[in-house]
Amino acid sequence: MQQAILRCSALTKAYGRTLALDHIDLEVFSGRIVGLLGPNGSGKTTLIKLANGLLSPTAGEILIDGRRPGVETKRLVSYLPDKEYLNNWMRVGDLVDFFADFYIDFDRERAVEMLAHLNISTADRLKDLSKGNREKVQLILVMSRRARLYLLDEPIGGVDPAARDYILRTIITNYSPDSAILLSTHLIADVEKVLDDVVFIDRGRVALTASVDYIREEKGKSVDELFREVFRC
Amino acid sequence: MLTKLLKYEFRASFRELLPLYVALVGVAALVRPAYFRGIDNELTGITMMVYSALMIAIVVISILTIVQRFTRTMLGREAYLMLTLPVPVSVHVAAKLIVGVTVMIAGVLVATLSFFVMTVNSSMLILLKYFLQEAAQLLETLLRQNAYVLLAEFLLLWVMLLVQGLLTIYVSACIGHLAERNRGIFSVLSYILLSSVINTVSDLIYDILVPSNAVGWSGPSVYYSLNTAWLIPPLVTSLVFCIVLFKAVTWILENRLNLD
Repeated sequence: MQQAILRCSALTKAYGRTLALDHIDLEVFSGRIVGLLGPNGSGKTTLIKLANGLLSPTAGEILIDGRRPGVETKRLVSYLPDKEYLNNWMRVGDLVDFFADFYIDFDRERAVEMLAHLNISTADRLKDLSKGNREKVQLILVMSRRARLYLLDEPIGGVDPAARDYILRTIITNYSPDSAILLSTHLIADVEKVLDDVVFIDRGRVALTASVDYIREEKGKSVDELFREVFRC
Repeated sequence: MLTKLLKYEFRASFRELLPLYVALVGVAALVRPAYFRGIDNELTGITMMVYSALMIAIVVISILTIVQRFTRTMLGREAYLMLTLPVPVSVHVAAKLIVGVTVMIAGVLVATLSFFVMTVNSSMLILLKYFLQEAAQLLETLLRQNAYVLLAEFLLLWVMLLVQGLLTIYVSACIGHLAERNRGIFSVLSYILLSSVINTVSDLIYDILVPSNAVGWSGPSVYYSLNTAWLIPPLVTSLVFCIVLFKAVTWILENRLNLD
């Protein structure tokens, strides 16, 4: 039986008296693109940060390829945070070198090719690029790794529709069938076309887990329609 | 991995400091002619003000660099990049320490170099050499110890105390990070408390281990005696504190990290 690349068991994260995640049980398998969908504040980012070892769980566990987040799992996971996190004073070429230095699965040629396609020079300083281009650089660096698990937190938030299409195309064309992608967003209509499975998360709990095909065929709805129905205000 | 981390840490830490170092030595070279000719005019005054301002800037930026390199890359925005690298936390902390100590030592060396550039000529160098030789002989006569061994032990103690000081800052920042709000205030309070505890424990240890009739010097408590044998307690004490503080930092970052 295939082992889940990501498994959450009764995963709980509390901030004081607030439960950001409440006994989450979740599995993500290789070869799947999974949408972690939910409104703002539902716990999507918290779950992704736990998978990266950037938060400590209050209870339960989260395993990457059967191991707790640590040095070994960081070799397998390629993470795109929902914020700008790269050093602005560095040049794009420096960042490519940085990723090549620390990740043996980083494909430098692929990264340089994608940057050239966007007319971004490796001599450009990150701070001189537009916000959209900075986000694209971040995405290119992350997707240029041949990781087992990609964790993309709001990859299309805050960019224009053309950039969204580019980002989604980059995700699809650079994703390996041996990998899994967990992609969080609240912009359902844009990402629906690339997803295999969806996980609806609401107030720290899993509200629904289903394949996109099931939602369309059995429920006769798009994921976006179902999302609006489930999370109606 | 440590070597790779050090490459980026050194670059990030010295990119602002290196131009200041060059400027300081350059200004010292500009003042030099006026110094030796005894010229005291407005231009010399302004140049000396610039020199002093650069010296202060180097001190302030060095301290800020050391603190910010840790807080930003381990507890702030850049932690999303650094702490998701496949590198043990202990290696991250070790890299920060190595670079932090280097920044401090570099600052002292550059300041000394600038002073030499400004004030020392060949005859003064000869005088300085003579003075150092006489001082070394005097120390050897008084303490019956090799002056170079004594100097090496003092330098080692100084570096150890630097590391201890840096680790105290790191632990304080980590403790502050554990708070939900007002993290800066908690960090400062933690630093004050930790420093007080460390000083108190150090004093207690020296009171026990160092006899009151030892050849002494009532300066800062760590320099209890100029006899090299009595440098061993502060060296060992500082080493123990460094180990404990290092383990505390790595434990908090591995087990209690909560990045915003």
